[in-house]
Amino acid sequence: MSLTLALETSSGRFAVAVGRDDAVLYNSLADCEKGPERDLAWAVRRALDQAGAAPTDLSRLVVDIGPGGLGSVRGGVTFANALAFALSLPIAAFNYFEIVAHEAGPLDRPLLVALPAAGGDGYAGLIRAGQVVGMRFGPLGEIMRQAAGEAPALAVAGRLRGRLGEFLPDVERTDTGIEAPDPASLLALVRLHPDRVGAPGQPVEPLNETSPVFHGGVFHD
Amino acid sequence: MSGRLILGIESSCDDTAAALVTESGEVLASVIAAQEEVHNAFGGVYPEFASRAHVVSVIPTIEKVMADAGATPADLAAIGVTRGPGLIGSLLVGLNTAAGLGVGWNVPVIGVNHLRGHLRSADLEQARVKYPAIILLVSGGHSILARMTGPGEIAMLGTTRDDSVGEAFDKVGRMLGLPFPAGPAMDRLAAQGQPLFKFPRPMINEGLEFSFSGLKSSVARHMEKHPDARLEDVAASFVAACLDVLEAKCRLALTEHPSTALVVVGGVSASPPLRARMAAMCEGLGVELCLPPLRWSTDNAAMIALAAWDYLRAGLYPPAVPQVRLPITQY
Repeated sequence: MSLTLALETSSGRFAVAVGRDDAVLYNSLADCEKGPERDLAWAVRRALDQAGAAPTDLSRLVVDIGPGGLGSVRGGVTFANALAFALSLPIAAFNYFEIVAHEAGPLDRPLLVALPAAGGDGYAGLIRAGQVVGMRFGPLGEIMRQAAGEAPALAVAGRLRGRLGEFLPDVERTDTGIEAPDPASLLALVRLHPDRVGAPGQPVEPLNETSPVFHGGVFHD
Repeated sequence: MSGRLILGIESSCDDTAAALVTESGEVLASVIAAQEEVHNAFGGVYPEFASRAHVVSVIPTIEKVMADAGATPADLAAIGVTRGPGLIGSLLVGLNTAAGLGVGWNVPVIGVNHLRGHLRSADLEQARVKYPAIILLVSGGHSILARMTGPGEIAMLGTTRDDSVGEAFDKVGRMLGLPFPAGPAMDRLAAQGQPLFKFPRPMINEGLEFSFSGLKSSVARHMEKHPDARLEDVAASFVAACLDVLEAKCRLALTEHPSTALVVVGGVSASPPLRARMAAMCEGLGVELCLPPLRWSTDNAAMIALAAWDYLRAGLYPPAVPQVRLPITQY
C-alpha cells in the first residue's frame, strides 16, 4: 500500500492531495480550512493530518513542475525536493500540459493549452489523443499559430484560453474550462505511469523557458 | 530543544550556503556553492539565473554539510534560514527547502534576518565582540552603522541613501574592466597606483548616513574626460575616497555613542586596506577592533545558524516567507 503526496504548483496557489493506492484520502481543493497563503509546510501537514498519516508514512511524492506561476512552481518543486531528500522518497514529475491532457480526457479535436509568461511571451502545448505532441515558449501570437497549424477546430485550456481569438480568429474554439490543475490528477498520473517515479531522494527541476522540452520537436508532421 | 546543532541555510543573493553550528558558535561544517561563473558576464548578479542556480545546488550543498559533520537530523535543534533582505527568487528557494526539510525531519524552521547574521559573524568560532559595540556592515547590498548592546540588541545609526559601498566597488570595477565581484581585484589594482585624483567624499561631514552614488558617477565622468588616466591611479583614488568616508563615519559613531568595540562585518570587511585603516583608527581611539575571520566576512550560512540560536533562545519564530526588504532592527 503506497501513500502518495501530490503537490500542484503551476496555478500560482498551492494545492495538495494525499492518496493511498486508488483512493484519494485528502484534497485541499475540497477543504474549507485555508492556511497561510503559499505556506506549503502548513498545507502538507494539514493534508497528512487529515489523511491520518505522518510524513514518515509517505512512499513517494508526485509534483507539478510547471510551467506556470514562476515563484509557485519553483517554490513547490524546491519544497518537494527537500522533503524527498529528508525522507529518502522518490519523486515523479509531470508538467502542466501532461496534467491538463489527463484532465481533458478523450477529445474529438486537438487541445491547445496556452499560458502567459513574462514580457509578452507565453507557453503553448498541443495535445492529440491524450498525448502532448509539442511544447513551445516564445512570443504569444507566433507560438499559438505554430501550435494550431492548419487545424480548423481546437479545444482550448489554460490561463490564456480566453485570449486565443486574438491570435486564431478563424479557428473554431471549444473551451474545456481547464485552468488550474487538480492535485488528484497527479495521483492518477503516477498510478498510470509508475515508470516516471525516480530514485529515492533524487531531485527534479522546474521547467522554464530554457528547458529542452520547449525547443525542438514538431507540432505537426 | 533537543539537538545540539542548528542547520543554517543562506540563499539571499548569489551564494548557496549551508552550515552546522553549535550554540557557542563552533562551526562543525560549512559549505558554499558560489555562482561567480554564472554572473561574471553580467558584471553583477542576474537575479533569475541566481534563483535557478540555487534550485540546482541547494540539496547537494545541504547533503554535503550533513556528511562533512557526520550529523543526522536527530542532532538538529532547528533549521535557520535567511528570510530577507534579498532577491525574492533566491530567498524562496532557501525558504522552501527549509520548509520541506522541517516537515520531513520534524524540526522547527526559523526565518532569520540576513543582516543579523552578518552582525553575529564576528562571534563565529570564538566570542570576539565586546559590548556595547559599534557595528559597520559593509557589503554588496548594504552599508549600515548600528550600535549593539548585546547579541540581539540593535539600534540603527545610519544607512546608505543610494548605493552600498560594495555596489560602488562593483560598478566602478566594471568601468575598470575588473571581474565580478570587484572588491579583491580593485584592492590589488589600487595597491599599484597612487590616489592622484580628488574624487568627492559624499556626505563625509553630514551625520551617520552614507551615499556612494555620486562617487561612482564622478569616477565615470573622470574616465570619460581622461581616457588615458592610469587605471591603477583611478582605483587607488576611488578606494581612498571610500575609506575616508567609512573611517569618518565610524569615528563619528564612536564619538557620539561611546563603545567598547568597533565590529566590521560584511563582504567589504575582507578588504585589507579597510582592515588596516580601521585598525589604525581604533588604536588611536583606544577602542577594540573586532573582525570576523575572512571566511565569515562574505555571505555564509554559519552566521545565519548562529543568529538563529538567538531567535531560538528568545522563542522567536518569524514567518519563514521571503522579505525583499527587512530592516536590521527587525528579526
